[in-house]
Amino acid sequence: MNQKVQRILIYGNTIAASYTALALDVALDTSIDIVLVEPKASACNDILYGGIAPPNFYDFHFKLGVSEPDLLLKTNTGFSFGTEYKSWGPSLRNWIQCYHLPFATDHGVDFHQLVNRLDLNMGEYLVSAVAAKHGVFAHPPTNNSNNALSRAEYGYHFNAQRLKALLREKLNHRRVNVMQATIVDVKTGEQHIKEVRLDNGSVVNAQLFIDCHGPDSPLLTALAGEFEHQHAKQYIHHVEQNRVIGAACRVAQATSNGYQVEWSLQVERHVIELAEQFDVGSPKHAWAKSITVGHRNCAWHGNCIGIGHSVCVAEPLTDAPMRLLHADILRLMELFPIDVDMAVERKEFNRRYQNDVESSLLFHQAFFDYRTDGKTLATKLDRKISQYLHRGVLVSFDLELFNKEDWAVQHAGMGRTPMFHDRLVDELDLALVDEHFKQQKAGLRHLVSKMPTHADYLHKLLIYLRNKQF
Amino acid sequence: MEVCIVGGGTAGWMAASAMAKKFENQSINVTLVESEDIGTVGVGEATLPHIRFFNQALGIDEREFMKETRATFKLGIEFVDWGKIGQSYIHPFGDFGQSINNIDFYQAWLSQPSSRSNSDLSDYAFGTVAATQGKFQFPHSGQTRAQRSFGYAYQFDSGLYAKFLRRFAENLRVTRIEGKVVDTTIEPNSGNVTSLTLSNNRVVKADLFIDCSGFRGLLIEQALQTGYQDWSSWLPCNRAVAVPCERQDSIPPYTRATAQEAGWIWRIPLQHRTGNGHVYWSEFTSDQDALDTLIMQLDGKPTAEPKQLYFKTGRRNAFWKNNVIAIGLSAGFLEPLESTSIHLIQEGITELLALFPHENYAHIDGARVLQINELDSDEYNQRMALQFERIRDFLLLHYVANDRNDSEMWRYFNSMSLPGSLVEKLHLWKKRAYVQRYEHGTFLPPSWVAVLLGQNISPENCDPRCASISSDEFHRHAATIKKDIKNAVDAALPHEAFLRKFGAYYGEPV
Repeated sequence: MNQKVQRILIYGNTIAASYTALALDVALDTSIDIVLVEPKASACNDILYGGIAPPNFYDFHFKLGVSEPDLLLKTNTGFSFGTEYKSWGPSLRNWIQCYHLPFATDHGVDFHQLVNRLDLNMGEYLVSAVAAKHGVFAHPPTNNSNNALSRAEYGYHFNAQRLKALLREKLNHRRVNVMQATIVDVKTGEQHIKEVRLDNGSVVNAQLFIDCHGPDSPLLTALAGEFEHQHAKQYIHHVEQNRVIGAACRVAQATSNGYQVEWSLQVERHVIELAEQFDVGSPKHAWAKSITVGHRNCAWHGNCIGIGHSVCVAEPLTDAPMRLLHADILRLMELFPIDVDMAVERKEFNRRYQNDVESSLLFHQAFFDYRTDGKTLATKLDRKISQYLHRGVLVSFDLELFNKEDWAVQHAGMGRTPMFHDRLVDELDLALVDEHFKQQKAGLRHLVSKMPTHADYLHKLLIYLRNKQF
Repeated sequence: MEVCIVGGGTAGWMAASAMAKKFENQSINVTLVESEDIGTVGVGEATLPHIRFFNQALGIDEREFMKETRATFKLGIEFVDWGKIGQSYIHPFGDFGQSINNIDFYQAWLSQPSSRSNSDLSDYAFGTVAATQGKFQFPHSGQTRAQRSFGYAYQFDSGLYAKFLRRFAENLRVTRIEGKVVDTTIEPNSGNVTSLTLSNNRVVKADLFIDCSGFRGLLIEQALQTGYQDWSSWLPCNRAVAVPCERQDSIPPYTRATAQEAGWIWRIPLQHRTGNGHVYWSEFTSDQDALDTLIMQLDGKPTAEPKQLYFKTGRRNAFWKNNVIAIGLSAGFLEPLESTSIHLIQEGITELLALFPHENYAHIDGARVLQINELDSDEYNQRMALQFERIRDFLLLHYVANDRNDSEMWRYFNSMSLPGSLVEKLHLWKKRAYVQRYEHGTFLPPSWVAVLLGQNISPENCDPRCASISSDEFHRHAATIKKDIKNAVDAALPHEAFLRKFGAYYGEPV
């Protein structure tokens, strides 16, 4: 029988490292040692998670012992209904890429097909988009499906440093052994890491190493070299103080050589601007930091797994970075190796990782695909866009990171107009359907007119939570 | 648009009904050509739960449908002698237990040695417990999650189902033409089939043809020569003999598949009779021996002459070519071990409705020719190919995941090289009881778990996270589920009593 995994070494001073340590602590038997080696320098790359966590982070946090009140009270977090894209693309499109439960069908006809047939603005019929647009927020009710707001989903806007601090604080009460040190040498053999030497002179060995350090990923690099796919970019990040929190959605807009994304927290506003390269000689060029966007072919080599930016740095245009991080950790939990022969787990982990990265790239690339006439099916993206432009078919592949609703909202937002419609639409009394949509639109407007602003809601919620604490 | 369906078996009338209903208000005229001289195969008397959605979408009343087709409820399939001679298990429609600390219940159950020795995983599936006690109730009657976490399907007379749907479709103005197709005309530029000539010289023209002509693929193969992917090396059974017999005293709410030396025997209990058949590999048994084996295992006296079937497992290279879409046996054949024949018809129809071509015509030499957009046919072909391939792997699993080595056929499966996709799945299962998931496919992880554990493929390990679940915690959780299921099954009616009370029994008023 092969030796069991008895010690895990996690390396990094990042959100990814803290999430991974917490998740392993919750999931694994206490007989397994979890060592977190934390270099003093905090990774500045965490800002590239884009400050937005999708709705599944509520559950994820809950399972890790991180409650929503914790987040709100300790990390300056705000709520998020999604991202608003402003003046996007050559047609200067505006829409909110909102979070929403699966769309309802009408007599078996998909919602997006009806919207297309009636030439409606999809965002006016999605409660989270309407609420975000009007700057209002309230928790979606979970026990009243008749309330239109129950169809909304929400995520969070966060400050990466504060979020990491909260996660680290949680780790203080767990069995994770935290060592403040930097790895100065990685000893490898037979495609495995044998041990690492720290700057304090100690040597640590483990059966499994988890690299959460960031793009330079020293553990994985020692085994497999650098990212196979990389592209240099520049970014500027700045923070302004907020008196009042803004709307519950990020705002993304194109700039002359890239785009910028901004999001509002309780007391501050973050802006991150990405460009291929800022104009040489400009102040931005002087302030900009360089990053490498890209990914590895495989996230698991030998006995070393990469999580988060150690394997894939996705652009923060969408919430893909946090979706990928969540998927990385979920995959690790489901495939935590039984013993030191990790071949079976490694293969499956890498297959799923590749699928996740591919699906995040497809969604990102589609933001820059302005074709209006789709005929080719050569690639997966061609297939998705051509089929939609042809007759509004939402092509989906297995277990994508972005679901059909995400794609439907993006297609509509980008102004992709199918040439034909689903034939089942023509079975419906379109005048009646149109009337139903008008009522729905009026109902949503009425609903949001009664909702508090995001700022008021959060303000009162924080007072309530603080009072409850004491 | 003129649509012509060739063939009036289950596939033909399901397609006609769906198109007539779903395009009721559009100028789509559906004609179905069938010949009473050509018998229908009538495969797929047992179904999967998805059939309920098909019937619901057509607005079919469940009681009426069940009465007319002499249908019974089906909670799963009992597999006898598959893992080992003398052993059996039920593959139920539904999950086993409920997850504990986000870990699948079966994993937690595997991790508890005392559980494995004292209970069976099937004790935690309502479908299995109810099936073995011959009882039934609807999922929505359940008070707790454990009592609601199951699905059900039907076992029915597929010939009667076709007749039932024929009435349904004809009421929706589907035109039926009696006749045998003797010739087809193809427009050379587009490759479209433009008309059929019947044996009485009648010519039937249409813009779009649905080939439901059965194994021979009258249009998709004989006319358009699409080609066939032969999967005989993986699923080599190539013949079947079917014979109905008198019904049993009590009607089991499940189908049975009993492994044989050179194939397997199905038993499908209906209200008025039991359907039986022996699927076999002609390499290792003769037609007469196959029939004798079947007759010997009948539960009652035969009520009709045996019917012999010949087939080759596999699928067409393309399901949709030019203006012809193959649905049913003309699209491909996978043996009915998991009741997928009607399901694949349903999938074909559902995809066709979603991708139904628009009226875009060219006029060539005075004739109207429907222009098929390759985007539609390509999407259809990709979706259906994936369905077929994933079902193929699941069927093959039954033959290769076992300890049988007692005949030539079983030895063949022992030494065969498997599709890579299945090899990977088996490695993951054996190492750590992990089931590789997919989104687009018929059989979800609980089905794989049912077959793998049912056929004694014990994993070497389970999910390491199970170590964090204490024995007490697991046993409390498991005992609650078991009790919930027991209470619900105790309160449920015997299957036949339920059928009568529900008003689905043929010849009885509600």
